[in-house]
Amino acid sequence: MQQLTQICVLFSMLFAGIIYTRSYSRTGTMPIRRLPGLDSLDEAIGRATEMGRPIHFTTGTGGLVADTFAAFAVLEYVAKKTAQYGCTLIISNAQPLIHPITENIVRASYYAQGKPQSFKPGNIRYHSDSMQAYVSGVWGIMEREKVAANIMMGYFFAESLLLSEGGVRSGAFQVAGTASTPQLPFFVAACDRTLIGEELFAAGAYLTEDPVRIGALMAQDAAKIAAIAIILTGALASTVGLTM
Amino acid sequence: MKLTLASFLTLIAGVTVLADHFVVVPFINKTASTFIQWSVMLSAFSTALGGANILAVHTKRMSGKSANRGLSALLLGSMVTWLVIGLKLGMESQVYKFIWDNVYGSLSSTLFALNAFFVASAAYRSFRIRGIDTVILLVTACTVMLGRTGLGEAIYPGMPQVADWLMRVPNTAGMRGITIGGALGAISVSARVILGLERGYGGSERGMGVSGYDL
Amino acid sequence: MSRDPGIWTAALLTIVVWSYLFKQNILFQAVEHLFVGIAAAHAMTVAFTNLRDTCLGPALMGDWAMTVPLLGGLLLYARFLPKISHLSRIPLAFVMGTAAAVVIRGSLGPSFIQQVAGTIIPLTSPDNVILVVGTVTTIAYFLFGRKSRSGMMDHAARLGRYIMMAAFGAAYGNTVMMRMSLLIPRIRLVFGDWLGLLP
Repeated sequence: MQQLTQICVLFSMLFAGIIYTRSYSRTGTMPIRRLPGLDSLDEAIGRATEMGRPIHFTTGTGGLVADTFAAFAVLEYVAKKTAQYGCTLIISNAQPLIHPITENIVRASYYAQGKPQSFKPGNIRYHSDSMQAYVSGVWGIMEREKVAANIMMGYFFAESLLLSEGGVRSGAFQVAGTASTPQLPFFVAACDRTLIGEELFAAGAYLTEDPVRIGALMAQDAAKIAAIAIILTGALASTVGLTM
Repeated sequence: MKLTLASFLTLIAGVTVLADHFVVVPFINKTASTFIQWSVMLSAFSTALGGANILAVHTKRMSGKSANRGLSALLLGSMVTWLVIGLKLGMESQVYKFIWDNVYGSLSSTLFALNAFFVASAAYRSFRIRGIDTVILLVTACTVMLGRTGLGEAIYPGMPQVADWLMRVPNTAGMRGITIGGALGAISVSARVILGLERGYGGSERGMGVSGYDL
Repeated sequence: MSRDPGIWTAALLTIVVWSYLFKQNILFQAVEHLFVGIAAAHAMTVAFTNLRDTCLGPALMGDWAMTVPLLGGLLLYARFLPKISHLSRIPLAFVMGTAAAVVIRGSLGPSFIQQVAGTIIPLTSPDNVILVVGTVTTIAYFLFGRKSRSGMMDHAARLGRYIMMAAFGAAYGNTVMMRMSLLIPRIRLVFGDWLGLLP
């Protein structure tokens, strides 16, 4: 029964995603509301460009998980903007498998902006998968390279507070985003802006206006409205003694 | 949607591992567990890519006129020495264990323990009242913090119970809402990866063709 | 004072790391580079040892199932050869597919359906009401559509944000003591084991 429910949820979301994608492609009207957390990415890039100092980006120690997939879309956006404005982008990786992927994304973004000569593979750095060694490496970069903005998007463990406090000490404007509930309080406390939970997953659609991503985001909205309806109906039913 | 070798492999791997979750078919179940095992091994292979990056970045820095040449030399020296010791003498050797316990272990624990200072400094900064959000954050954080110490109980005997309630009810509600939303986002982005609809790094080639990645 | 070189090494490194709290300095930077070097080498040693035992060995013995990850692993290194660098995407694409499926498996049941089911509780106590309303309004906060987040849902979303802030505050307060306690073993090492000032 549970497996069947899971299959139903999965296929309903896929189906709804297709319908919303087609609807958006037809009308072209942006259906997403303003998300201030994501607008702050432009603020971070603008600040770094004005100051002539680098932007630092990291996806945390989480490896290939959903938060990291969502962070790749943010990285693509940031890389394109930095290529466009001639701002230096430094990336710190803790997971060796993430390293070539981030390099691919940044390289492709620089090519897409017609700035292949500005792409420097040496700015994409691996610091080992030891959380503490990675943190010390990131601190070093933030201090020595005097980064103006620190963008942390992905899945984080206990390094969240260490990284964001390191960013504060180097005076960087900080934007974080994760769905890792134990780490969110630290980002909210220490960073200038935080994308909370699903806001990180909305980033790709919001920043790129890609019809597929927008359609998928609207399907997520439909699933949330369904979840709200089920919870409220179920709670009321169980209050009056009806069991489901 | 353009089907390439890369996107085809993503699709096959994704669908097989997903199908394994829903059906009991020995062939699919065995193939899925083999795929997961292969992925773990491929991740292990990628560790050398990280090592190569460190080597490239710091060799370049050493050959230039950077003020940090000495630091890069230290990094490369420690990496190569440690690698040779690990591979030649083994991880069970005396020298490996000494450095592991007293250098690596000590640095890890001390760096992690800096959290104790940072948890206070972050709280100090964020709890300066900036609006209703920070008022709520401040009140709940202080209540739970006090409820977890003897001081809170001395101020108000019911403080530990209030702290427990805050953790049990509002905390559960908030975190559950975030988890539900996050799960939908995770399902959505992962499904797009499997179907080759996420750009840049997986199946779809949009944005990647210019760098000659089409397969 | 201790005469153990191990304790001396650990204590001096601890003090250097603590110095970061005052200012970045050359000693901390040296330790940072030493640390990254050792950690990266350790990761490679562990990976090589594991691969030798689980992949290389069996593949050389003729286990075909292990020749596939071996070839895939070698393809990862194709990125160093410009003419065939694109081939390194093949193993990456495979791992991405597997990882994405593992995410869906974990998210559908425990993180979505079971969380929704767990919130279907009778509204017979104030705690239950707060739990249900808190969860529902927090979900409403994550409605991203202009249409879906209008009218009543917008009010609900605002309440959801306050619930989240309460949740973050509570979680933060709950971990303070635990994080503080991380310091105790380090203080014991420096002032006790090394300097002998603690009983």
